[in-house]
Amino acid sequence: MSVFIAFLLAIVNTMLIDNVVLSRFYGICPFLGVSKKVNSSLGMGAAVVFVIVLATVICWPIYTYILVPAQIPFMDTVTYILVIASLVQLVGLIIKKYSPTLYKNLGIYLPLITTNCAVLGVVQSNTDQSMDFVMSLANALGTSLGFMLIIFVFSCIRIRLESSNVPKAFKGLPIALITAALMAIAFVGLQGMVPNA
Amino acid sequence: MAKDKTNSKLANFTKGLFKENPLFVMVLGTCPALATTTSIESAIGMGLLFTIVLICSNVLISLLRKLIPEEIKTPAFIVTIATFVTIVKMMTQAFLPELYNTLGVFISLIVVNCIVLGRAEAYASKNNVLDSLIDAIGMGLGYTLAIVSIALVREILGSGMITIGKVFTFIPLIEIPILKYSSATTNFDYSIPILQQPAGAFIVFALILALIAFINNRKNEKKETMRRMEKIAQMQKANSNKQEVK
Amino acid sequence: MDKQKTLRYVKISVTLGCFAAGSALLISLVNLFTADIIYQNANAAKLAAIKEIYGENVTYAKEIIIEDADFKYLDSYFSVTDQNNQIGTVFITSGSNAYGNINMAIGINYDESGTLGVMKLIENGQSFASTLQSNYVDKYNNGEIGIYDTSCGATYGATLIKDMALQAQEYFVEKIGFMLVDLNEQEVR
Repeated sequence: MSVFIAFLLAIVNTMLIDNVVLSRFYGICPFLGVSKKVNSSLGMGAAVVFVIVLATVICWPIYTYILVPAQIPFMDTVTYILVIASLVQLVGLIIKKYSPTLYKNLGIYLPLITTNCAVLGVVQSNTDQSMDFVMSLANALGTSLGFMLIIFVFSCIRIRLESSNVPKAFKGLPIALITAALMAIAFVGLQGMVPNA
Repeated sequence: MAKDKTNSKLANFTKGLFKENPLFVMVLGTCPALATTTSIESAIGMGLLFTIVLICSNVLISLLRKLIPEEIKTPAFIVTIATFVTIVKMMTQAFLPELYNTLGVFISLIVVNCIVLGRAEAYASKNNVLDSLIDAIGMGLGYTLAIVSIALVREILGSGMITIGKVFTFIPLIEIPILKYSSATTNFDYSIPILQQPAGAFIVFALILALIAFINNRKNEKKETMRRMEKIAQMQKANSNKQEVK
Repeated sequence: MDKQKTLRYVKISVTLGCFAAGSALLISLVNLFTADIIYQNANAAKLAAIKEIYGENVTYAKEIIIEDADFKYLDSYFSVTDQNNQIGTVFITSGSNAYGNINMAIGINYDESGTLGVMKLIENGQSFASTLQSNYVDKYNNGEIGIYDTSCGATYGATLIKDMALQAQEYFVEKIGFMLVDLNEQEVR
């Protein structure tokens, strides 16, 4: 029971307090370039959740039970990125088959999940920091859910930014970054919430 | 003919610095740019490692461009880049352990840096080795200059002093106080600590992009005004011609 | 047509195989060359931490590896002596929590209850890494481990550090024990 609670708490920690985009800086490129439509940002977030969790579930056992006993732990980066690239192709095929509208809306952002720093960052840091499987899974779930939360909130804000009166030099990317900075400051306020764990 | 060639090679090199600067113009590779710029030294280290990987991968992919079939282009590029990143990571861990501890997982994240993959796919697989090499050096230098400029602002204004020698341990440790100084007699602190926090990274990046947009807008406005004045002059000339004919 | 297709597949797999093999070979070569240096760097970091904790002029005995499942954070320890008097034990610990991993050198002074000496971070992989030494580790030094509350504020690795220090203290009291040996009189008091 306490393992389950520790698992849930670790997810909340990684999702809110140590948020993947606003304090660890993974996944900025799709975060800034995310479309202004709420539906496609949710779909993108869900695809990222799926890819990150599946990548952790596949890559952690490969590292622990294949690479380390064979004494080639240094091949981890090459293996991980190949696994991630194939997973993204697979997810693309699944989405194309079951929801062609979502596939069309995501457009180029779907293959770009391969180059999303969050995916490789989470998988690599799980093994770099010698976490066990439960912690790695909690890390993966927390990171990807945090990413989905942030993209969703950000796309809602950007829709309203479109129709407001922004100074000419700040139009587009700079005002989006200032918004992200304000969100980051807001999330700093959650730092005091770590439980006795 | 020879001058044309050197001019185009020079243009190839400088485009990575200003016109197609990978960070400020194409806005690629932002993750390490915001995360590793808390100090100038780690930014220089990150830029150096990035340039090494970019040069090696561009040259190798350009050498092998005729041998790679179309279907497996992307996996082949990825494996090449990942190999070089692993090699660079191991060398850094052995010879510059402080830099390795500071940059952490962001060395591995050079693999998924859009710039490296982008240049491999857009340029190195279509041009010869010398051009790819020059392109890689230009892009790498441009990226390094960009992140060092962000780091300069964040370190000087954010921590108030420049610290040299903490990451590159072969240089003696020097701390140059600029905005923050404490000693037995005087004591002042005008630094802005938020700039060392994650939120500050976003702010600095936004301000630099806004500055570049502002300069570009002024340039465009000047061009626009000159164009309009020329048009008005032309119309006036046409009018005065008509008057004469009458 | 069929032959063309199979030829194409063969070409693709052979090229991929060459790439994979080439990459593995290159990386293994570099590994042969750098693995020793990395190992020595890690050792040098531990010895430098000992010098920081107990001063420059101390000597230390050979490293003894701990493989006890009850003490999962402890990796090994060094007995530190200063001019023939044992002054303490430095435990090398490693552990990780949801924010990353921590490797530490914990100095336990050589006395009856094993009071906590100075602690130094060797490797800090926590995501809010920069404040860990100054805000938490330095506050525990040379004092009561139990004083500092680890359940309020931005605590990150503080609980982990407290657990490591408690385990090191427990190991010292139970397994090593405090024996005052006066080398002039060769008596165990």
